[in-house]
Amino acid sequence: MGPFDFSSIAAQPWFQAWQRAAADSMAAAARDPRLMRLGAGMLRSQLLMGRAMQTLWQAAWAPADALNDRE
Amino acid sequence: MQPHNEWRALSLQLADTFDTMVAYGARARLHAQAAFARLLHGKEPIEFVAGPATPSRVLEEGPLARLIHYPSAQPGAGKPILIVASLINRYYVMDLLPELSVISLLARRGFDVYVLDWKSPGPDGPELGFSDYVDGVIPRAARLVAARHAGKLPAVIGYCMGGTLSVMFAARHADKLRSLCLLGTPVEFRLSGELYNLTDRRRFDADLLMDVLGNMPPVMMQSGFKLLNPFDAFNKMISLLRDAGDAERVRHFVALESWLDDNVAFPGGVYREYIRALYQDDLLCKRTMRIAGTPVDLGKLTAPLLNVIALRDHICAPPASRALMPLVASKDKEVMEFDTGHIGLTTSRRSLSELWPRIADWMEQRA
Repeated sequence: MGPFDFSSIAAQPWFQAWQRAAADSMAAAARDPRLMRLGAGMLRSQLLMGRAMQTLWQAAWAPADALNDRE
Repeated sequence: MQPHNEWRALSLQLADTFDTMVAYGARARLHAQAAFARLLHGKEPIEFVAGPATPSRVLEEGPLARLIHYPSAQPGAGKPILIVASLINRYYVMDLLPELSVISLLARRGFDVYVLDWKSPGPDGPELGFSDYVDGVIPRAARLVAARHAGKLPAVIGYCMGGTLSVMFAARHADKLRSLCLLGTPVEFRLSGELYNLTDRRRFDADLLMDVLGNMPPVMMQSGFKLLNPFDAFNKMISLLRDAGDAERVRHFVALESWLDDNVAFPGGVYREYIRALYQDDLLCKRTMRIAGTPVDLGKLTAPLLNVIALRDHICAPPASRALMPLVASKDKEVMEFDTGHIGLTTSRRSLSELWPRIADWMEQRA
């Protein structure tokens, strides 16, 4: 056995009960409709920001694109 | 190509390079974690666990996939199998470790195993669609395999989303396969569980996502899967610390976790179709799915069909798979249910000793 025996702690009923409870509550939180709406809203705002930046980028390149088309 | 589009193409190529680096980084991190856990148990680190375990040969390399061949252990047996994995995952979940390899088991049973190993889609990804795979890469691979076996058609094994692709392929190219075996394959997506809720059209806009990102990065896909069981990462570390004294378990852990972090980007065009047509509109089971303007009629799927369902599958809930059976025209069709999870279908010892011999028997009877 090495310097740290985790097996005995992991086998304790209180530890396993805590693990199960923590897993259940995190899963429930992740499925909470309000949290899902919040997450989806944050993702959407990030993506809209990304799209705005892309549009700006395209606009900045527009003169070069036009020159390229003429050639 | 216009200059700003060149930048866009370059950014998608860089994203693919980033994904590769993430995969290498994850493998290194997992080995370090395993070494630390072993140290706590007073044991030496395990030997390096690389990717696929069994020697193979790349037969053909196209822009979207490599066709890889694992020769049969019984030369001349001539029973070809073509494996189609999910578009985002590397195929070698079926060849993780020498003692935990579905491919090696099939080769020992006399099958010539061919696998499609998907490549990163790069700048072409946003323009790709289901047709490039269902009418392009897969039929081409099936033709090549048949040509190498004197015209003998391959049995196709589709896993997860690769199964959905295989179903569409089998419905549209019934003359190119001998039989079809599906593993954890969703068909009625409305019944597929939490992933269906995550992609609900009221919250999830696949078009906006792909407009901005081009292709779906694996990191983002993985975060979706991790949301299904957010505490899992912690539990895995606890298991590693607890079991680190057993070298075999640690090797299994490192091999599986490294595979989970070794993904390719989901081609943007296919992702749009996948989410809109399948998850949000469920067109495949409504028989109104169209690829490149032509219908995918599951009623034209006539090949012998084996549908393997994992009863504890959280990625493809069993009802989403079972829904396929009444939709197909196959006279020879069977459902095989097994008490395991989605990945356990190919990576658990019990699946290898109890499930896969039955699958191999089924395919042998129809070879």
